Amino acid sequence: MTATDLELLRRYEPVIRYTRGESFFPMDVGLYVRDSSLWVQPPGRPAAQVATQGELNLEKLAQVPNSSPTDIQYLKFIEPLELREMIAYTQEQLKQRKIAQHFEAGRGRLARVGFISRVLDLLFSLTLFLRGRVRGDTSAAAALEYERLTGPNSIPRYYGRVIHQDGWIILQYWFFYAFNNWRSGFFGVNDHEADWEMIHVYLYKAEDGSLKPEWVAYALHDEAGDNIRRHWDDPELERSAGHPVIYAGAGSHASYFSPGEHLAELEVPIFTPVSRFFRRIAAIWNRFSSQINPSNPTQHTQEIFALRVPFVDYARGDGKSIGPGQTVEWGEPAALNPIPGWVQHYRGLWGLYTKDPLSGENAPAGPMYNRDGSVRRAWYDPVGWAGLDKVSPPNLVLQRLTQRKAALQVEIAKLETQIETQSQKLAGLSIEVLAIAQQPHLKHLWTSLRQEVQKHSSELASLRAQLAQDRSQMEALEGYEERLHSGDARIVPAYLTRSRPIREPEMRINRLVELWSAVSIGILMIGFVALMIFYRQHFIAGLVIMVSLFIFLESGFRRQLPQLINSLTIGLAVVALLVLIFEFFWYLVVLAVLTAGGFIIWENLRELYSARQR
Amino acid sequence: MTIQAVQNDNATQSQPVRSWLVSLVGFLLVAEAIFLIVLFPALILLRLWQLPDFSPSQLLPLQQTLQTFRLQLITTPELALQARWATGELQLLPGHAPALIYPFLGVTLLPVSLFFWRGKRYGWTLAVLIQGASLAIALATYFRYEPFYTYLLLFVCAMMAFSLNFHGVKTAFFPLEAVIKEPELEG
Repeated sequence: MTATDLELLRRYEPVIRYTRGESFFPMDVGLYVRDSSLWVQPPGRPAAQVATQGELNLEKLAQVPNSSPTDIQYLKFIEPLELREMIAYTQEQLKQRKIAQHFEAGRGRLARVGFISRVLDLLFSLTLFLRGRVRGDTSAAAALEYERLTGPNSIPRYYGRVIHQDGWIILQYWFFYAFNNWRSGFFGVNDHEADWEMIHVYLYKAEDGSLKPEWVAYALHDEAGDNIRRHWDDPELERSAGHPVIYAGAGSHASYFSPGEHLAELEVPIFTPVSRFFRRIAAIWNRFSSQINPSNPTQHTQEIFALRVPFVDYARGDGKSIGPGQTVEWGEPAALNPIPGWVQHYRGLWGLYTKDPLSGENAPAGPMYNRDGSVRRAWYDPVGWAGLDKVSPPNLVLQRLTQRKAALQVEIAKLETQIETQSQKLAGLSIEVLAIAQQPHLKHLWTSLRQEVQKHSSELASLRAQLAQDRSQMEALEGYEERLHSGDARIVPAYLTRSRPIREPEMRINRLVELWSAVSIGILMIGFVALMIFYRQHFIAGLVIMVSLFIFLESGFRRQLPQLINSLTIGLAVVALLVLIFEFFWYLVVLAVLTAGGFIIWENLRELYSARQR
Repeated sequence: MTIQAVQNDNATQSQPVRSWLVSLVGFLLVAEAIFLIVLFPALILLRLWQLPDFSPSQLLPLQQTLQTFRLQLITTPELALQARWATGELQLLPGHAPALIYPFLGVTLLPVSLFFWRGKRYGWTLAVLIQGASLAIALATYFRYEPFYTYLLLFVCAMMAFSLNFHGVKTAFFPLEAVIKEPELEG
């Protein structure tokens, strides 16, 4: 890495703001690797230890030979705590609670979502018993080990890389955390050893030769595309003395542009077809009747029928802050140009492999690779990863526009020539057709020539349409070029959706709703069992009544009673119409025919009457 | 600021104009209420009319009628309503018994129509609720007894349920919020 690259990295290195209660911060991977053991997991057999704790370092990790394609290589950072250590850790946590250093969950996540999502949440929690997962005390052990390794005055570190792609100069920042304790520490989706997070800053070369930032993109769980990037001037992007600010999710370390509590919803793949079916039905009804939701007119159909498990990513930014001008500053960045061996050659996981089929609890691979050993898109295509492959750097817009204009001009000239030729040919053919029209003995020739005339005429029409379109396109390009020269054209961000923190009005959830959300699923299950034991003969009826009562209460708590009542009434009205159609089908057919007949008579008489008046 | 908020602000200055569609649906609600109120008496009269020895003069004087006409509700699974008539026994058809609820719904619908006509949200919600209740009872009665009058009820209530969901009617009670569009990519 050149000095300029390093200087660039330092100039735009981010500020990361954490939530109070966060235990893990960006660290030196060398410390982590030295403290880990290396294992290989063959399929169907016990895992074998390849290197013990203390044997490894980054150089040795780079020399670890690749395992067979079916085996999984992984590092193991944590050994379970002994009882004595666990007690000591719990005491320490209690002390922190007294000095208000601990995390407060705030409004319950379950109260923010619907009944079905809460049932799915229960099912998701139950799957943890079946899936491989990180043990409950691992998080505590990891926190202790992290503290022991880094010491009380640890200097955080990031890994940087400068990439040139499609005219962009991309600064790639990687942050390594020893542990992701989102589930055990912050009621999130998963826990896993090791956590790699990343952001990009996209620069372009300005007219004066300096490099200017244009976009930033933050890694947000597994998302990619337009939603993860913001323009450098976007008000949503916070900057601190020219450094982008990241609000890190508590435990998950996912990067957010704004502070707050972000609702991350995990869509359960097996329910996706059901969600899609209901969304389509709702979309048809909405289109048919221009419907709105009475309780929340802006609520989107997709949100109503989303079968998702809700999780809150707490990115409050009220805890430790790392970065230039903050209480804790970055240490010397480590360069990933040229690619170090430990990044390029080690394709295994960076922490415990739990055999979780959903992969949420398995540790991630290194910065360059996915868990399956393939290269990450963000590594080999940082421009496409953030959806910038369709956006030109400002310094290249004019040049690319000129190229496009030239190409279009060639196309227009070609079309004009084609049209000229075709036009002349068509004129000749039509004269020929006219000439032989009165010659019966040339009937076959006349027929084929007429067909040819029609074919050429149609081709000529489409060529002229294409020419008109190309000329309009050229006009638009010229207009845009003029605006670029005059400085009127500006690039504004376009996003499909924005991940915003939950807004204040949405969070007005009272204690009763929170309590109801917390206990309702449990009560439903107890009621289910009670029905089975005491009223088995009326089980179905009882279940229907119980579920209806729950839905009614739920709607009441969420102020969605009008919507519920309306939906039920519309459903009943549709059934009523079907009944009427079934009972009076032939009468309706007769009525329809009579109406159509009457309408036709009326229309014809009206036409006749208006003609006579003229 | 949302359109609703704008409208609320304006409401302090002047009364919002009621659309003709809302007025029409309000009028239809009143008509429906009258229909529901008279449905059950009409069924009894129709049944009485079908008695072989019945003559309209027997209904008068009123005092005598009330003394001799007694309704007896038998709460058995086979819900049946029996009315005894001085000149003979009138056995109402089983499917007629559930119709006893409609006059109550009709009476409730009258003030609801007024609330609806005055543009109150709960007026709309209660009107929809009454359509839902009427439809549910009518459908249950239809599937159990198939009495002739349910067809009319199903038709009236279904049409009213749909008309309450007309875009123009619904937006009068639940205005759409202004949709703030994200800026598009210009360059």
